[in-house]
Amino acid sequence: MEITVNSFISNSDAPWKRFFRILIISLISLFTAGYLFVLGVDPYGIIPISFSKDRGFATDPRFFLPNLAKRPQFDSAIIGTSTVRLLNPKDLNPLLNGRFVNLALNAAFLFEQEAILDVFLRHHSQPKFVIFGVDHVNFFNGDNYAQFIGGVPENFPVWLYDESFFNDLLPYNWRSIQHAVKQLRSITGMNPFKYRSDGYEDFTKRHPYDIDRVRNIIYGSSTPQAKVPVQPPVIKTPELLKTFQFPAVRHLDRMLGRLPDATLKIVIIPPFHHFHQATPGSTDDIKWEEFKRHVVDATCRYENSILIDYMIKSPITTADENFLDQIHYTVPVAKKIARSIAREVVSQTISPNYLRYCTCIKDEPAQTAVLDDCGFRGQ
Amino acid sequence: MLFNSQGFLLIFLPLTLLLYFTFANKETLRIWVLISASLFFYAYWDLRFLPLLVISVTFNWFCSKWHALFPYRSILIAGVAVNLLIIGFFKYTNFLLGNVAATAGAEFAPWNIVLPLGISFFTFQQISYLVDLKRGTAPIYPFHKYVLYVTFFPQLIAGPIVRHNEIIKQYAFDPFREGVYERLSKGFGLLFIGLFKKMILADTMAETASFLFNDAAAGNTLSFYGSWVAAAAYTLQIYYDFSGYSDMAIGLGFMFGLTIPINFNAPYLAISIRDFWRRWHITLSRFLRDYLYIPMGGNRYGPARQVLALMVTMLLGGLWHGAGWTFVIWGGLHGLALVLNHLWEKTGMPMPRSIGWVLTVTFVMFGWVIFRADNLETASAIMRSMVGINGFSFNIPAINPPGQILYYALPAFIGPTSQRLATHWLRPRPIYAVIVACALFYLALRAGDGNYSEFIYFQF
Repeated sequence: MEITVNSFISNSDAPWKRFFRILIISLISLFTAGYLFVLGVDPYGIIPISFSKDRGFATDPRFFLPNLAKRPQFDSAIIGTSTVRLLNPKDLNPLLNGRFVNLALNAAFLFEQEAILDVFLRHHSQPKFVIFGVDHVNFFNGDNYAQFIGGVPENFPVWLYDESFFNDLLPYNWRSIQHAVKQLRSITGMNPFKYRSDGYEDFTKRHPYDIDRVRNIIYGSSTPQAKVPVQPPVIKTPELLKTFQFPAVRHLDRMLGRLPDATLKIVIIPPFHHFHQATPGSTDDIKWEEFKRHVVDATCRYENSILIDYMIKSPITTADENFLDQIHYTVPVAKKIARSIAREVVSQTISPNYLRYCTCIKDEPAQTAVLDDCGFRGQ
Repeated sequence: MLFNSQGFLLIFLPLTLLLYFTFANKETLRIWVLISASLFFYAYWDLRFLPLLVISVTFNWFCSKWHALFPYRSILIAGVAVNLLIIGFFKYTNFLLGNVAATAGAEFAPWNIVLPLGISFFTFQQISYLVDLKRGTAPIYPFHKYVLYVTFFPQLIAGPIVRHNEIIKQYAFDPFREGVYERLSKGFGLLFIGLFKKMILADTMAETASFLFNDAAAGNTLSFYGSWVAAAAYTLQIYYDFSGYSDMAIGLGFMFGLTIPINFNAPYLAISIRDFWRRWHITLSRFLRDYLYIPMGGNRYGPARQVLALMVTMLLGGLWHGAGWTFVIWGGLHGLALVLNHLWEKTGMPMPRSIGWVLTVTFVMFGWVIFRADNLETASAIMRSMVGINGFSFNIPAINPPGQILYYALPAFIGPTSQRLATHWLRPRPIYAVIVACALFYLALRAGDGNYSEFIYFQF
């Protein structure tokens, strides 16, 4: 049985001529109108003159942050993941006399952090400050290293991270239409802009704060629980230390190495809720200690570097109301962190909220204690 | 280049159509336009594959020419042997050596052989031509027509497997002959149907099937319900994926004024396994029938010979799909089912249509489990769950919203076939043109999101 569709061709072609003409005209009209719509709304801020210019963004930061990283009005940047996304440029700017852009991406792979830093450095050869959030997901968990650097993540818009303007105009897909619709809704006031034009987003506003919910996330119940140290504590042996690998820390080292000496490099280990930190006396506790030693080694060998560690038992990390979940702190804590960063830049202080490991002089041996002020006073 | 990519839909296809119709009144030139486009289409995946395709096509054409000059059957037999050696080397070397090593108890590190895309399809088309030459039923074609017969991009990678005598004569037809706008319009209609099947139906089912088959491969026991969802999801995925590809191939052929035979005719409505193979991958079925089953005797030499012919045909048909025991067993089971089907028919006992349908679909689903599983252990584990050996738990797999499978099954089980949609339902009304345009616009933009996946039959 030979079946084809050929036998169904009719004799009269005139109606089909009209059909085909309408089909082609509709296709051309739809593609042209859709493209002009995306260009006009400019959801990623790539067009020099557009509705989106300096008004904020409603779309995926991976798409619009490269454009912010190129803008000359900024001289300082924040790189990392969601654990530094709440650092508000409006808090940091007056404290440090800088013009910050928050380039942190939620759940950013190392690849993405390096990519956005690349863009920023191509357009700002002498940044004033760069703040790095050393996230446990990327940097601490060496077991996941391969998956974090295993090539370009799916759907990562590489074309927006290079210097070609024209290839920024090429991608035209359903996602860009959806982004343009979202952006248009914000431009017309139907929805607020999710992100400010300095990259900041207060993601704590997404849900009303509920301390019971937070405690359920942290403790698994609404009742706070005490952290019980491991007894007897695990002994730190050279053999145990050898089992810990932190290959991702060399990416931090590489990123810091790309910054000019004059740039103040501020590395922070953001605070997790104390219940979510390593249990004292446990193998994990030793692993964290070793991890911090690696980060100190990577950071403190660079001139003009400060490393501030909030991942300790402190008034910040022991108060449930300071957190949204185990690893994300609230806006008041973010403000506190901004102030403490500024204090550390201007002068050395002793705080119960963090430890400071720092060398401001190149090649000075790293130390895991509060160091003397090494003379940096900001710029 | 994939049909479901923006590069194909927005650049390659419009440009090729434009060039083809620009040179429509110059037959040789328009054929070379299609050949050039097809070679570019093929090389776009991997330039390394191109020489093999070009050498294969040239070699086979020279075989036909040599045979015309020196009519020795040995030339054609040698030609078929070379084709079989080439496909054997690329497709079956590791399988063969691995099994030899396993039998000898030796270690075997697979050779690094990259399987050229579409090799099974273009090799089979060329073998069929050489065999027809040997039978004296094929003419010698001009080089450019023969090259286009093998390389025509819509069917180059995954069929339908086209016969020389049903396509090459069409190359002489004027593309602007009566019906050009209907062919173009219905071609776009079929392209839309194929894209929809692939991007919306098959790729969604693929997520469910992959999740569950991988779960089983990792050693987790699927629930009774989960195992049936896995089998059903893959049953739908492979149908939408492959028939979607075939719809697009036929639609694209139509746009160029060429009629490619259909490959699917509502296979899951089959009421027997014989009926199924008349509806599933029709062009492969008829290839196997005409070039294996009938030459081996078919039903002409008694039941024993017929059983042997059926079993060998289906085992080789299974092996054609891939170098693995799962494919061989799948083919063998279908061969066995066809034998039983024939025996039942010989008894003259009636089979109620509904029972025949249930038996056929159930058997086909079990078959797809073997076909899809990474290995026999995984297939066996899923089938044990399907028959309730691991209990009758109705745990709903996290990946699959309850009921999703059912409404995704509707087009396959009660919907009209693609060819019926394109030929009977698509009328020359302006509103339909706008609907097709909107759907193509949406799918072409979806294709640009970067989530597109390859077609299952590309690996064969």
